[in-house]
Parts: sequence; structure tokens; C-alpha cells
Amino acid sequence: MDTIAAIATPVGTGGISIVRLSGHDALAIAGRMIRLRKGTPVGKMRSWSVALGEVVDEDGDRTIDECIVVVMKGPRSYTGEDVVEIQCHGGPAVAEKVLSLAFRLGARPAQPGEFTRRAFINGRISLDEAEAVLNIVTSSSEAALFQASRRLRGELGALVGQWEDRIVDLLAVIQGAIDFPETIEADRNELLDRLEGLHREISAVLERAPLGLALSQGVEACLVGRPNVGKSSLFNALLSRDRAIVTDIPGATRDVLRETTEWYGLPVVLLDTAGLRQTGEVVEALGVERARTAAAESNVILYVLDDTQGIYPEDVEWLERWRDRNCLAVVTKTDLDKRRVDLGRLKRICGDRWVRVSGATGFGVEDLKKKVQSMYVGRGDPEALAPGSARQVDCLRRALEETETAIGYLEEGWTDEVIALALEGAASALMELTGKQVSSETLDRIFSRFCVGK
Amino acid sequence: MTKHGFDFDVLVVGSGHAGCEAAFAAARLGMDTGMVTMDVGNIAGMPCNPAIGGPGKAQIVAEIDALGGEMALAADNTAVEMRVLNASKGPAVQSLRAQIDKHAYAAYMGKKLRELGIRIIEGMVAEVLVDQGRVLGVTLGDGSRIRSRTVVLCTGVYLESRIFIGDEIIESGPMGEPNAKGLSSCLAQLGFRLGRFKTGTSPRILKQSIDWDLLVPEKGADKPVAFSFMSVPKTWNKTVCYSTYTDERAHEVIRDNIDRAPLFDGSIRGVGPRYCPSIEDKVMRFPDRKRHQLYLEIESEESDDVYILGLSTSLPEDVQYLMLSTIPGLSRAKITRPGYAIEYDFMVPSQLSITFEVQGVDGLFAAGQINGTSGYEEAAAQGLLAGVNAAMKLRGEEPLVLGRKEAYIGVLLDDLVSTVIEEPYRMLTSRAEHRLYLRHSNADMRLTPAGRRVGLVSDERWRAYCRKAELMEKGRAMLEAKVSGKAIKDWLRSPGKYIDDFFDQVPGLRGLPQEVLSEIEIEAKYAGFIERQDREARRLERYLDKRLPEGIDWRKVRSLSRETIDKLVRYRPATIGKALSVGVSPSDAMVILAMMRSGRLGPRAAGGNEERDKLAAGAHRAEMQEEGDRGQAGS
Repeated sequence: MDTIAAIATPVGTGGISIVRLSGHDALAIAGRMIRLRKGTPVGKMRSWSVALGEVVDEDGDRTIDECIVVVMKGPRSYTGEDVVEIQCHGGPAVAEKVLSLAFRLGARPAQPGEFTRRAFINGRISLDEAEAVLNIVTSSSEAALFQASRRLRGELGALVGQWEDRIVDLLAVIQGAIDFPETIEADRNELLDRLEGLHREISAVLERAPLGLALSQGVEACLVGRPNVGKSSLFNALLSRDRAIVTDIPGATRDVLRETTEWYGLPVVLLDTAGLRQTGEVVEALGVERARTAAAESNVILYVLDDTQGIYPEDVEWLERWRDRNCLAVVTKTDLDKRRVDLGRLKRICGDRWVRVSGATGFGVEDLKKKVQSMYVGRGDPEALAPGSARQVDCLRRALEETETAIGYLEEGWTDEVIALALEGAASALMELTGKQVSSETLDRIFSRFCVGK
Repeated sequence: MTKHGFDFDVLVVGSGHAGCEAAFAAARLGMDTGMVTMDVGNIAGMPCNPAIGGPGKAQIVAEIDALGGEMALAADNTAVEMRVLNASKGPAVQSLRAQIDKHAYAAYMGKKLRELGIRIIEGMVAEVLVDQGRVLGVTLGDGSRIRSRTVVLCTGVYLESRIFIGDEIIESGPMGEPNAKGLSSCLAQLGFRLGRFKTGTSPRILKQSIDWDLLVPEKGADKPVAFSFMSVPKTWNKTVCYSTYTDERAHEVIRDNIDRAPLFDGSIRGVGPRYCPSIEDKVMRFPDRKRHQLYLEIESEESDDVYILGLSTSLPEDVQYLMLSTIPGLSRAKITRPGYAIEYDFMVPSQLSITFEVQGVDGLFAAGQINGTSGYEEAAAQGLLAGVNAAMKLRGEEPLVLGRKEAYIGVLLDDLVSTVIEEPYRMLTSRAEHRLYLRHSNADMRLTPAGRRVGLVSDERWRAYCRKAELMEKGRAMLEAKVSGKAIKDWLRSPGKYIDDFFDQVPGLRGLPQEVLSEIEIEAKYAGFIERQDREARRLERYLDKRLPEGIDWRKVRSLSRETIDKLVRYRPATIGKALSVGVSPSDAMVILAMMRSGRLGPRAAGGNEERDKLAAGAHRAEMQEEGDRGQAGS
């Protein structure tokens, strides 16, 4: 495969930057870029060894940086191909220079996730693991990283594997009893018990799916409200820096601003939007339109109310429209102590989903973050195992439904052949995660568990 | 001599269950049909248990019947007892099993052969005559030649077979028959891959040496049953089957003598069936089981031999005696023929085409155990299709091919040609993904038209089919009637509702025959489940049953791991699912799927690296790409 290169560390941070090369010519390209201290060529380095050297330009007469080189030869490398990692000094300029040198020598820029994709293609990692790695890459907070790394270590896989194992066991009994009626008997009460146990466990993990997805993909929280109620100053307060321009002029924010942050372990993409109002001004009208779209598509709506102005009829209209969403009413400018927002009325509209804050003093900001975090993390353990991709959630949900169906059939007194149908569905949903086949797995199980035959 | 200087149109080699059905079918389709057998006294023999049917197998027998084959009628005519297995587990898996008088069965089949004018030749086929890729006939052991336009090999377990009884190893066929020498090497020379399987049977004991009063009688079917749609169903209340069991004493005998078991000392190389283990296998593999049930079946009224179901063994005869002496009711038993293991050659069935013609030799067909299957029923079904298709080929007409959704026979066919057969293949209901639809009770509705199309179904059978089909249509229409605002067919979907609950509301139902009533009731009751099963099967089809393109030189597809390529070359899996089942990694399977989707996997596609990269990207799920796109390039 052709050779790809990229900076593997976050741009602009940290003491070192790593430039990574992978592919057929990785060693050759690195060899032309680097002069090792001990004088031997990079190509002669042993796999999984480290050496000190200098990155030199094409002509070989100018040193770009001092570096540490790590060589991992295929197939025993992350991607399964020859991989060279060049650790150079921090700072974007140096790493960019090293990278562009690699490009000039024949490497091409890596696409996002391409190293992982190659690892998957070369059979180094499974689809499950590939998903987990991509989650790590996109993880922007510690909790999310923890989730992803647990999946990478195969804990979700192990759990799914264990469920699959138990369902195949049940299938083996019921199918076995059909195909070998003289030697195997299926006990329906025991079957029901075991299915109910499985059902409880799968639903417990599925309940954490929103958390898992949120932790691995981040939650979009959108600040909306009428103009000049203090959205942008709250935006800055929530990010702890002056990101948005704050003025007294209504309609100052036009485009949607978007910043990533983290609230108590929950990765958040915070959106600041234009104030919602009727306007004849073309640019502002476009902004308003975008605000509405952003709110509609986000996971959490932070509806901002101005404590110096009170609740307007259109506020009520919006709040009621988003009643069924994850919508939190945020009363701002409380430091001015005007108390124009009638809290009793607000409670009637939003229940307990409201919070009083001040962008100027920081009052209530942490409270807001916690409230949003708790919408996802809830009372549960934020570090408990949860599915991290839509595909995993889909498979688990199907397995749960089929288990439910099987329980229903059992309770209604349907025949074994019908119950087997639902069990097969549950098993195949789980096996979609592991790529096995229900029928052959079941047969193998029958023969390993039961002494059948004439 | 028939046309073009041939002795026969269709020559069947072997007179077992496959051979008989093949010969019947060919003869009924007007072919000049011959049969070569090593022993004219051994027609449709039952060297294992004297029984037909059971889960998956009974359905096959019914299908053979619907297509116009003989097995069901022969079983109905020669049964000594019938039982319904799985009666409470649902209408699709309930399965008839008949104990057969094996001598009467053989006599019935022999009579049919004569009635149909099939010429029987005694001799051993040593060679298949092939010229320029086309079969010309066979050469017998004595050097004489039989010329035939097509040849159907139904040689059973006779190819280079060896019998094991303890350390006694005999070059022999089953039950002391001679084995077939030479044919294996001829097939190998023709370029076919052969494998070696093993099976076994239990000792036969003398009827008079059994203490019958110490055994437990097993009851027959209390409602009228029959295999064939043309037979009058009968009730069986005679007890002809008895049971007993082995206990720790017998197991100790086995453990003490296990070093004398050829299965354990390495002298048997062939792979045996997991579903039919020997008693020594059972005892060694399941040491926790304190007893193993045994059934005793009298083989025939004309013989004193009793078959012991559950006691297959290849231990030495003296150990067999020791073992029997510990079993309640059998302590004085006299062995008339010791149990044995038999090892034999088979042709790897992926070399078959879907008509049971062997790929590479025009006009050569193979059916039965030579294809790696086990069981009388599985053999008979293949024989029927091979016989029909030999005739259809000579007539220049469309072959008879059945699909997985149409028949158990279709499942059998597909599994044989497209999967890796790792042990003697036996039908099981679990193998049929359309199991709820593939019932014994609707085999006539499913397959009679196909049998009629090729010409195997008699006018009488066809009229019976048409009459039933018409009554079923009437019945279905009656089930549309509404009761309390809901159609009867919808009421029937509830588990506690039956068709007789509606006789008062729709008196017309009362006039329909029982088999029609029960069939339309099942249809209505199971409609939802069958739809669901179809959906599930289709869903799997999209991925697992996706057929890999043929004629690919996988070694040139550089995008795959060497391990995967080795497996693809070695096992030639027909589908993605089969590829997974031979150990191709899921990620490689996805890459293959992606290549197929983008149409870049063909005989010429030996894509470069860039090519594969693009393809592999397509293998990723959409959401994964999303995640990837959000990721950093350095990941």
C-alpha cells in the first residue's frame, strides 16, 4: 500500500510532536529524511527499536530538528505495515516542516482515521476495535477516553460474547430437543428464567446507550433565546474565555459559533446562535434561521431568558415547543437582581428543568453544567460499560427485542419451533457484532454439550 | 443395445436407497435404465438401524413422495410400527419415524425394480469410462464393459472401505459384503478430490437371547399416520420397540478396554459423525452421564436379528460381550453380528453441480453416501434428483433443482454443493432456515407440481393433489369470514384458538377433510411467524448468503491476507457466510463484500493497492466513516 503520513499528536500542544508514516515506503522515506547519530541507515534498524537522530532536508545539508525514531515493521505494527514514528520537538512549525518533507519524498497525506482503517483492512483489529479506536481519536474528555479504551480492551465485546454464548446455549437446548428428541429435553421454565435474566442485563447496558454515544461522540448543546438576553456572555462564561463578541446591541451574533468543551466528563459541543426574532435584515434573518436549525438538530437546548426582562409570550411558545426535548431554561443576568422572570410560572412550563445563572459573576454556571451532564449520566455510574456506536446500539436493541419476543411466546404457550425462531433472531443480532453464524454455532454447541445420537 | 450403440440411457451403480430412487426415476421418465450391484440379493438394504424418518428426515421422505419417488410408499407398506416425534413441539418439526421390516422393505423395492423393467447386472464397477470429458459407461471387475449415455454413482460406503472390530481390520463393505476396489483411484485419476469418513453400527443380537420382560415397552402412534400422501393413514398400537440402558458397569468395561478401541488408538483416520457417536465416544466424552438409553428394534419378521439403537461400537467382540452382560435384559444376549466401525472414501461434494452431475465429466452423476452424506433418506432424495436430472439431460429439458425455501431436499443440495462438509452430513431441522414452512404436512402442496412437470407424478397423484389444492382454496376463503368483527384467520393467530372453534359460525368448514382443515389452520396460525422467518432469512441473505463470484484466482487479489487467500483457495466457499464459517476473518469478509458491491471483483480484478484502499473504505459502515472523518489524521 502507498505510504501515508500525518502528525499524530494534537496540533500546537505538548512538548513533542509525532509524525507517523505507514506503508510500503515508510522506511525508505524515513531513511532519506533522517541521519542517525550512530551513522547507520534507518532501514537497518530492528523492528520495535528506538534511535536518536536528526531530520535533515532533501539536500542533506540543513538540520530541521533533532528527533527520536521508532521503527515498527509490518505485520507487527499498528497498521500491519511498516510504520516509522518520528518524535520531534513541540510546536507546529517544526512538525509541519518534517511532515511536508515526508510529502516531498513520496508520502501522501493520511485521510482522517486512515491509519486505523489500514489496521482494520490488514486484519490487525476487528471492526469493533476499529470503532473503539476511532472513538478514542475523537474522545475529547477523560471519561470518554475511559469508555473507549474499555471497549478497545474488549470489555463490551466480552460481555456481548458472553450473552451470545448464553443465547446459543438456550438455542442448543431447544434446537437439540427438536432434532434429538430421544436424548435432549427442553425445560420451558428454566428457559424463561434464563431469558429474563438476559433481558435484564441487556436492557441495563442499553439504558446507558445515550451516555455511551454522548461520551464517545459528544453532546451538542445549543444556546437559543430572544436577542440580547445574554447568550453570548453565557457562552463565554461556559467556555471560561472570551470567544464570542459581547455587545449591548441586539442581533450582534449572526452566524452559529461552535466550541468544544467538557462538563464533568461529558464532551460538549457548545453552540451560540443569533437571537430569535422577526427581522427584515437579510443577514440577521439568515442567522435566525440557522439558530432554529441548530436548536432543532442539537441534543440539548439551553433556552436563555433575561432576568431583567421577564418571560415574553414567544418565550412560552418556544419552551412549549421544546417541552419534549432535552431543554433547559436558563435565567441570565441574575447578578442585576431584577427578578423579572416569574419562577413559579417558569416551573409550570419547565418543571424542574431550569437554572439561574450569571455570565458576569459565574454564578450558577457550574450548576448548569451539572444539570446537562446529569441528563446523560443520570444517577448511573459514568464509567459503567455502554455501547459506543450506533451500530452496536442497533444490534443490542434488536437482541433485546427478540429476547422480549421469545419471553412473550413462552408465556403465551407457543410451540418450541416458534420460540426457537425468536431465539435465533436474538442470537443473530448479537452475532452481527462478531461475524459468526447462528446455525453452525448452534450445531457445534449441541454436539459439545449433549450426548446425542443413536 | 439402445440408441447410438449404448446399452443404457441411464446406468445406476449401486442398489441402495440412492440407487433405487435414481433407477425408478429414470425408468419412469422413459429411460432405458440399468443397475449394477455387487449383490443382487442386497437391494435397498438397511445396514444400520431398521428405521425410516425422524426430525428432518421424515420431511425429506414426504418430499420424495410428493415428487413421485418410492421411499414413503415402501415405508408405509413395510413398517411394523410408527411414532410421531416432537408432537408437542409444533406442526413443522413434528416428525414421523417408522420401524421397518427390513427384509419386507428390500423385497418391496426389488419388486418395483422388476416392475419398472430395470435390468440388474451383478458385478463390481472398477472404472468409469470417460472420453474427452464425457462419460461412456463403466468397466466391471471382470473387464467387461457396459456402455451408457449417463452413469449415476450410488456406491454408498463401499469405496475402499475397511471394517474395524477392535484390532481386527478387514477390507470389506458393511455387513460382511465385499468392498469396491479400484473405483476410488479411477475417480482420483479423473481429477476428483476424495475424502475419508467413518461411521459405525451396533451389534445385532439374537431375538431369543433377550429377556424381554426386563425391558420397557415403547408405544406407537395413537392417531392415524403415514409417510405418503397416497397411503391410507394407520394407527399403530402394537408394541415392537423396547428400551433399556447402559449403566456404570458397562461404562467401566469400556473404560477398562479403551486401549483396544480403534477409534482411540489412532487406527481410524476417517472423520465420524458427531450426531452418531459410538458408545465408547459417549462414555469417554461425557463421563458424568451415568446411563445411556438403548432401544431394541427387531429387524424383520423373517429374521431373528435385533438391532440395538444407541450401542454403536468398534470395540473387540469379547468386549462387546462383556458390555452386553452388564445391560438389563441383555445379560445373556448372543451376538449374531458384532458392531463395527467402517471407513470409506467419498467425493468432496463441492465438485457437484446443482443437478448432482459431477463437474468436469459430462453425464456422470453421483448420489448418496458417495457425496459425504449419511442416512437412507438423504441418500434416496439425492438418488431421485440425480435420476431425474440424468433423464432431463438426455431429453434436453430443464433440470429439477430445488431451493432452500422450497424443500429440505433443497437445503441438502445447497449445503452439499456450497459448504464445507466436515463430517457425514445428516439432515437436521436446524439446518433449514425456512423450517416453519417446510412441513411434512404441506410437502404435497410444495412439490407435487414440480414432480408433475418432470413427469414423475402419476395421474392419480396429480388428481389427488388438485382436489386437495381446490379444497384448501375453499377453506382459506371460509377463514376470511368475520367473527365478532375479526376474520377467522386472524383469530387463529392466538395460541388458544383452533379451527373447530368456528364450526358453528361457518358450517361449511365441517365438510372439509381433516388434512385440509389442519393445513389451513397451520397456515393461518403461522402466517406471522413464517413472514418473520422469511424476513430473517432475507436479512441474512443480504450478507451471509451473498454468493462469491466464481472463477476468481484469489491468489491474485492482493488486498486479502494470506491466511484468507489460503482458506478461499482451499475451501472455495460459495458465499460470504460460508467464507466466515471456514475461518475467513470478518474484516476480510467485509473487504470482499465491498469489492463485490463495487463490481470490482471479477476474474480480471487483481487490483493494485490503491484499488483495494478505495474498496476497503467502502466496506466501512456509514457511521464509522463519520467517526473517522471527525478523527484526526494521525489516528
